[in-house]
Amino acid sequence: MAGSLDQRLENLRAGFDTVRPNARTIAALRDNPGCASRRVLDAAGIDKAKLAERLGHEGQEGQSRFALQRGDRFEKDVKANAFAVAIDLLRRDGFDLDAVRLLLLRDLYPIDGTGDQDVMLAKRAEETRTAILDMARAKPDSYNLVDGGALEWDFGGAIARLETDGIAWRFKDQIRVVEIKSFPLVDGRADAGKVGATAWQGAVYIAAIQDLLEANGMSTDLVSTELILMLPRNTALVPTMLKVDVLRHVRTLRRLLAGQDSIDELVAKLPAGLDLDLDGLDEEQAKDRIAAVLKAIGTSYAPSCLESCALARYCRARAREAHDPRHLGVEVRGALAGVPTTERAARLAEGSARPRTEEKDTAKLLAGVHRVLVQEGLV
Amino acid sequence: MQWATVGQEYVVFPDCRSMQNTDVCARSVSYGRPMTDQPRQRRDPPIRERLLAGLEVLGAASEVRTVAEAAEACTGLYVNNRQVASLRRSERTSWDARPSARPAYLAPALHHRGFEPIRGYLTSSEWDLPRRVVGPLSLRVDYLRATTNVSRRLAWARKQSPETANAFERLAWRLARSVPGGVRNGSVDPAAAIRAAQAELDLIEEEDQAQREEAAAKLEQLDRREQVFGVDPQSRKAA
Repeated sequence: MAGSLDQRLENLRAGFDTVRPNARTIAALRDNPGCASRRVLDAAGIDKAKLAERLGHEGQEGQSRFALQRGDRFEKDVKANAFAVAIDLLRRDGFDLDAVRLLLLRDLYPIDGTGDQDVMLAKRAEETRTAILDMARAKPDSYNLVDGGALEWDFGGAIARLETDGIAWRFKDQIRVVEIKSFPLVDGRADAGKVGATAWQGAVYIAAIQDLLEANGMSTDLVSTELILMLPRNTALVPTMLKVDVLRHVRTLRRLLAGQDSIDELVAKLPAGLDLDLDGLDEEQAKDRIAAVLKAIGTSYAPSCLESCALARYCRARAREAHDPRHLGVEVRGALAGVPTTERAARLAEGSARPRTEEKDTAKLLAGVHRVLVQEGLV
Repeated sequence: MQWATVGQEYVVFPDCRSMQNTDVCARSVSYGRPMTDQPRQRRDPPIRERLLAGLEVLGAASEVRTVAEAAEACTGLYVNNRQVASLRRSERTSWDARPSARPAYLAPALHHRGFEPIRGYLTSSEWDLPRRVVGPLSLRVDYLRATTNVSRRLAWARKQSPETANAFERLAWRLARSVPGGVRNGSVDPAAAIRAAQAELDLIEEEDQAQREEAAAKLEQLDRREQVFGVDPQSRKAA
């Protein structure tokens, strides 16, 4: 196939709606590293929610409106008056912040539909890059707080710009990533699942900053892997801090990415001429075309996809149709090792099919379970 | 003293910059505060004027929401900060129709290098340019100045005009809570807030002023419209 990777991703997109990837998108990688479609679609910036809609499987990607409103209010409060609350909180915790130099990219280059979003994002990326490198070089009077930065992220050959939620902050000798979240810290403890999800997002930013430093011949140690979370304490919206070391997350993320086919290889699997150009197609034809693209690149459904991918409902329906044990979760998939479908598993359990060599262990187990169920009169 | 006139007969806002005028401000508070169930008065000042009055109280480039709160404290009339987005556009339109026709326009703070508007931070077009440009330290400096100004006003009002003090407590609290000792047992301690803010200002004010003046000299070279509303970030490469 001719042309650069970016060009080929553009061809695949063929004018379909776009959405900017964010750290949440990338952090979703660890939920299901095996899904090639998601990586390609994210690299091409394709709006998966819109695809799901065309496929008749409207998902619920993203957070609830109420969660967003609460989060928004808390974040605004912490950032109010040039981050006054955040600065106070950090100083109380002993962070050294004599002269606060703020670069508020969100205010300077708003991405709100009033201007060309790509231009704004490009400007943010350029300013973020300069600011982070100046911070790392400890240049006097460089900014020490960057809000609304845009970092570059290598999707495996395809470079995307990420609009970050986090704030990069330089204290003394290290750059820190700060995330403002609205789930509460109650008696010093926060919801482990939410802290985990935030840790993965923070890990994406930290990894992106490490890449930037490395590409400029600087030590990656200049960015701390300890993420600072600003959360509401108990039930009120009074902010407090929690520090989470995400070194492990950064490593896992890098390992996952390194172990995968490059986007280049995945896109190459597409037959020539197959793209998401849905112009002039009726509903059914459009569905078929999208399904053909997903099938050609490959999907890999797991229940955890439901939390992070708009196409999950579609993939689940396909997995059910195909009797793919994956739709029952990782544990069931593991327990049915060697058995390709749930239908086949049922026949092995009843003894109506002869197990192949690779199915023998599982078949024995299934037959045992079936015997118990029969004895108990459940089947 | 400057006066903004609304409608034909009612003078609403004095120039609130000096403490002596707070009594006049207090009058406008009692005028505007909905003490009865009467519907909004026809003579209520428009939002832009309320915000300009709020800005004069703060005395430095400030965040939209803070300006809206200051406007409410000063006039007793609620300002929904969502209305500010459309107001921004109408200020520009009004300028384009008749440049400089109004004594003051609500204008964004401007970035010190490219003079792009800093969307969330407001100033008044009648302020001199160094006050309207924002360098790396400026937003912090301006927050500390606003905290000082509002705390000073609160301290005065607590002694002289309980009604005005009530109107300013919330605004003062939101500003002073983030400086050491600014809020004690849930209540603003104006003297402590001023002391803490001034101590930090002493460290950074001079450097900030030099950067602002340097930038303002460059801004002076641009045309008047750009001096007021800034340079469109999309019209030039990032500075």
